Amino acid sequence: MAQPGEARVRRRFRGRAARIVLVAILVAAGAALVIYGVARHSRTVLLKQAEPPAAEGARTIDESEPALIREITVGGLRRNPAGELERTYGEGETPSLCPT
Amino acid sequence: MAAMAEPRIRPKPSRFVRGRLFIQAAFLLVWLDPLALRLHNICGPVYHCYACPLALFACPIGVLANFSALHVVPFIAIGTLLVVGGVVGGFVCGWACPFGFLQDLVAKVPVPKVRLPSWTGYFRYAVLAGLVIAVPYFFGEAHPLFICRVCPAGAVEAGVPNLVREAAAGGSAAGMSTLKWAILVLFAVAMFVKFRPWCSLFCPLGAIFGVFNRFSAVFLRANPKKCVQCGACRKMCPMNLAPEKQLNDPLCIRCMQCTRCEAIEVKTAFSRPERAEPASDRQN
Repeated sequence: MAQPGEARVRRRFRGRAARIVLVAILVAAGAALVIYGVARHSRTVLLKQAEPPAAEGARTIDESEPALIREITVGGLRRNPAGELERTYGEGETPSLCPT
Repeated sequence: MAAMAEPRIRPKPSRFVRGRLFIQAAFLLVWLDPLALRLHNICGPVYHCYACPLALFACPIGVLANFSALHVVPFIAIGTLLVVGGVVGGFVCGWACPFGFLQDLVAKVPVPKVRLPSWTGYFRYAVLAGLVIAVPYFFGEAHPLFICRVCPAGAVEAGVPNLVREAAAGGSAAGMSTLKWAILVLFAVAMFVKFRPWCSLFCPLGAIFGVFNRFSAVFLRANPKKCVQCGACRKMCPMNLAPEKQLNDPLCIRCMQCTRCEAIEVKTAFSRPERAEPASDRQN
């Protein structure tokens, strides 16, 4: 029959194993999300033009997630009423200030 | 039983805990981008506004809110928070956050501090759900309650320095909105009368890391055999927690003041459990 102290240690071992597994899952999931965001995730962004462009002439670029993060830090992106992402500044212009 | 009645409190915190302000200062130097790298395409793990002229990384809360406004899933920000939270949890708040460091410094001013009940910390989740996720998602970044528009960290770290910079350069210095000034003044007063008012009541990043306190790789553990229920740890906790019961509470910033009590110790997921003690010791 197990002594009470041994049972406590056994419970701790089980709790420790569960914690290690949980932390490993969290770190692996987080790392996978970061890698996916850096390597694969991108969005199409409309470039701002001086004149309203014709529908077929709208210029777009694909921006990776790190590039999107950089854009939002300078207030360089917004979502237009059509639900598309568009730049708030044109070529040769500086981005607007962020909300801060 | 006579030995149980004596509180086992060290006269001073450990040298490591006493050096917390220095460690926070060292982290601050990193966040202030001394090499002018401006890595704003990388999401940082601390509450440091990316509009700060000296910010190294992008603020994770700003990224979450702006991506919510754009209706884009922020994989990098979520991944960063999972990794950092899973490993150290709330230690980020107590040891690395520059905004927490500022509040810790101001808290050194000897003014009587208000102690609010710990349940007020759950208001942080309302801020996270409302101002960081819902308001940007449904109303966009132009809404006056968008988190960056009301964030005191942005006012302190970015608004004021940019205002000074513009004024020094002879610019218009239009600066911050009236709302932001009001928040800044209120927050400045609150820092003197309440320990870490932003962290304990409003911080959405602290709310996220607080969730990880229960199962992060580094955590605190109370040894029930050493605890004599003297209540000394409650008096030591600046966040007004009862450490013997709420050791891994989401509000805990891991300042480790409670580790002055021998019953409370820092553990990692890889620490080996203590061996069973002999029967004669167990009885004490």
